[in-house]
Amino acid sequence: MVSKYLDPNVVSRFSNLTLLPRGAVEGTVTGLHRSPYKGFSVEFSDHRAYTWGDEIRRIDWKVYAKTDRFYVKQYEEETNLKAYLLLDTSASMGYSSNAMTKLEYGCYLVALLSYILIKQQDAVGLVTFSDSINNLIPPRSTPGHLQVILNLLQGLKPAGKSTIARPCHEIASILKRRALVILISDLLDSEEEILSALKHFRHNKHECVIFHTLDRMELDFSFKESLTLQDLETGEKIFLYPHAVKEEYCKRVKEFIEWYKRVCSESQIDYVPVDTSVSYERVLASYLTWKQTR
Amino acid sequence: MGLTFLSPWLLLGLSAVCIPIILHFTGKRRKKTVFFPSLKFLIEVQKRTVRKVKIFQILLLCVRILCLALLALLLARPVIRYAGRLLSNPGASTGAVFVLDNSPSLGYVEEGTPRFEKAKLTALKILDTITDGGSALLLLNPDTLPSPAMLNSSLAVVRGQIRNAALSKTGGDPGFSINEAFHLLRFSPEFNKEVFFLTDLQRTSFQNPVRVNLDKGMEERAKLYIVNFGSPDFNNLAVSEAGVSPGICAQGQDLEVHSTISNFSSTDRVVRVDLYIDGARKTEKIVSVRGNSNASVVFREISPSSGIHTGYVEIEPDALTSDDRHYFSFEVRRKLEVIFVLDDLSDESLKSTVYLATALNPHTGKIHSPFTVSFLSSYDLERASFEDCASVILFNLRQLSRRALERLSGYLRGGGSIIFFPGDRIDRSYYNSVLNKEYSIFPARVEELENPVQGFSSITLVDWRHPVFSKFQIPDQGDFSSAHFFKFWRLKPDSDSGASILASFENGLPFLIEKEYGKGKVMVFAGIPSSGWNDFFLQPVFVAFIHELIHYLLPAGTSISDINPLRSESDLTPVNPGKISSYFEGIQPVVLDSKNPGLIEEILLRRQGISLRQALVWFLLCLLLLESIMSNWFVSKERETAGV
Repeated sequence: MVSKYLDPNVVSRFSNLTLLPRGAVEGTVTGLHRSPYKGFSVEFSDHRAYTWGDEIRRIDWKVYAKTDRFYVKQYEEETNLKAYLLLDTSASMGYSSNAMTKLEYGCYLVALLSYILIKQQDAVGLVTFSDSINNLIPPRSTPGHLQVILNLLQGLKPAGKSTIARPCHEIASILKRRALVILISDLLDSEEEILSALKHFRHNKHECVIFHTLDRMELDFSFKESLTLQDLETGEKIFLYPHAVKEEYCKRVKEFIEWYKRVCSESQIDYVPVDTSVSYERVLASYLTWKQTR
Repeated sequence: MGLTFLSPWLLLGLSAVCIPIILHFTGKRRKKTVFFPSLKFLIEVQKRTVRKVKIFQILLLCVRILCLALLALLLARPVIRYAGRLLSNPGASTGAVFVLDNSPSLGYVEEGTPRFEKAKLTALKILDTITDGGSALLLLNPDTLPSPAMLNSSLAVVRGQIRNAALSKTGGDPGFSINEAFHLLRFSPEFNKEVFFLTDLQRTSFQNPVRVNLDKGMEERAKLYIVNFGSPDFNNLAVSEAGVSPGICAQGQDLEVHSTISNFSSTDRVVRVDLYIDGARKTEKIVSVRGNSNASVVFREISPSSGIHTGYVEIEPDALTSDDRHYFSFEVRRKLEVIFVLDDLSDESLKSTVYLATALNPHTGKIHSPFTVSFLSSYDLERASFEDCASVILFNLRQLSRRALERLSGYLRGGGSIIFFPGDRIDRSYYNSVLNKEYSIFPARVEELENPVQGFSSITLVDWRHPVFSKFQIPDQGDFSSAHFFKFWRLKPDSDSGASILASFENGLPFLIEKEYGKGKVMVFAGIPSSGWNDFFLQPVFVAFIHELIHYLLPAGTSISDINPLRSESDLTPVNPGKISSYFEGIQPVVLDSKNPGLIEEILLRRQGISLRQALVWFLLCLLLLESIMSNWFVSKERETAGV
């Protein structure tokens, strides 16, 4: 595997970390994760009354001896995870006040997450979108699949307008089984629509994680002198005096992040605010550690 | 009322207001454009804040424009035209020229202080009233300083000049100084243009009317103040004249020092008069001088050793000390030699001069003449010395060599004198062509010899005012008319040579002609004092006349009039202040009495205009402070944002 987004040194540091979803996921092969389906498995789950059609061999005779009724044993099935990585490639993701754009930062996250998931025999798919879905790589858990994802990442360019909700809804309607949905975006779209899309995922029992990538300049607005700002997506220009707007801007950005924190918490969505000036390894490591300790 | 500017050309500075406007717009255009993703948070905020900042910046721009405009206005010196004084307004800016009369009369001490010092103090007080960046100048009348080109805006320098001003030895022309003052004020941008003439209003200084020429536009704002330090009540005695007569005398002879003591006050005075020669006090006299009159004092002394001597006559010091002493000088020679130049020194020639030579030096023990006589031939004249020579007599001389003529000419130009006595030996054509025409030494044409029909002629017309004859005017002092002239040369004086006839015969022909030649004098008689020509030499008046003539021809003593004050400076009688206006044309002066305690107030009351300078300065300072606060606030906000 040769890609600028996957550094062997970084990979080696993540060899002991796993990404476990909040609840059960539906998979096709045996894996690390609990399955919502009860059946033949090694781990006992529950009893239920025997009905017509149940296999005779699944009757728990010990319970019958005690209760004189037929109960069937139920086992938790351990299965693999289907994870969908949704990467926003809109023009706004091309912003950078330092060496790395938000999109590049997202690509690093995608590469590392893909590696971790495939390593733990989970299937990983990648969806890139701006105002619509640009690329869709269906989930696979084969080691060769990682190279497919990395190849796609290699050629990504920021373009198009941010319309996060629509592609999310599309993805939500495509997914049949429970899955892990990881959204990497700056969320610069209508908050209500994004929330609606996220709720769509949650409604379909999908596990959701949001990596909200924002540049340091977007957070503290540390411009030194008056300037004209041009929107990366719409081309709109505004002239402003940073000292005059900074306070209000920072307040609004803070409110914006706090709002997402709150609504994500309410909807049981993992919300990870990301400052692109902080190393992606540290961000991911702290998230995974936090996840494991829960 | 109306607004005017003292330096209107500086209003061009108003164009500087374009600078902040240009900077405002060009500065905005230079702002860089940066791509940014999160404009959704900025648009609303920007609309509100940019409007606020723009308003702030426009306000700041207005303040800066106002600052520059005010600065230009301030430099242009705006003044509200207003005649008279409004509350405590000291008047708009003032350009003042102080014409300080420093003639000797201002040295008069009154109440223990010289009037000149009082005038200086008053000038300083008036100078202190000049504020608001005014300018001033000191002119001394008579002026002893180099003529200034313009008024001085450094009042401290003018203050120093006034303090250091000193009295002069001579009087000046107030008309000239006042006109000079207004001429200089013409170039002054100040609103009020004032000339202060601080003087004792001496009557003798205002003999001629003073015509003041004011430029157009200056009439309203130009004022002439005459501050009077004079008073009709004064006491002054002066030594108005002193001198030795004649200016040259022989060593060991008596010399007379004549002096005049003048009393310029109305009360009679008795005063002691002292004579000093070469710094040593020689003698004194007590003299009584009646009010408004003079007294003559004559001192007789033995003349000192040969050389030039100085002396003075002094009276006891009074309120005006500058005229209490009068200097004079005189020359003492070893002898006073009269040189007779003859064609030759034969007995016959010498005999013909006997009456004249004897009259000059009688050679008797009882009569002591100041003159000695010597005889030279015309040839010897070429090498003769004129060192102790009182006069040269060319007696019946036929001709002179060119070289001798050149020597005589030089002697005359240096202050010597020649007396011609033409007899029957003279060469008329030589006298007319060479002496008269070519050298102009002989001031008349010699025509034919006159032999009166009735046998003789007499002197009938004499210029008695002339010093040679003035002493004989009094009856019984000498009679010229009794002399008989049997023949004499008919002389025709040159009309344009400056020759004058001092005495003439009854037929109008000249007996004695005088002409000045260089510093010297030439006298021409119509004949020689000899028998066959006249009997003038037998007349009692002859000896005295000849002596008076030689005395008159002696060179004058060295003049030292430049260190003696003018007589006019001793008369302190002032012009009536009520009539002073009649001496001025072109301007109506304001006469102020120096003793008036409200003098400064009267000057201030007449100042015009209200200066806006001070108000504008304060306004500008406030605006600069405001601009400083606003821009600092703006910069600090920017720095705060940038995290500096």
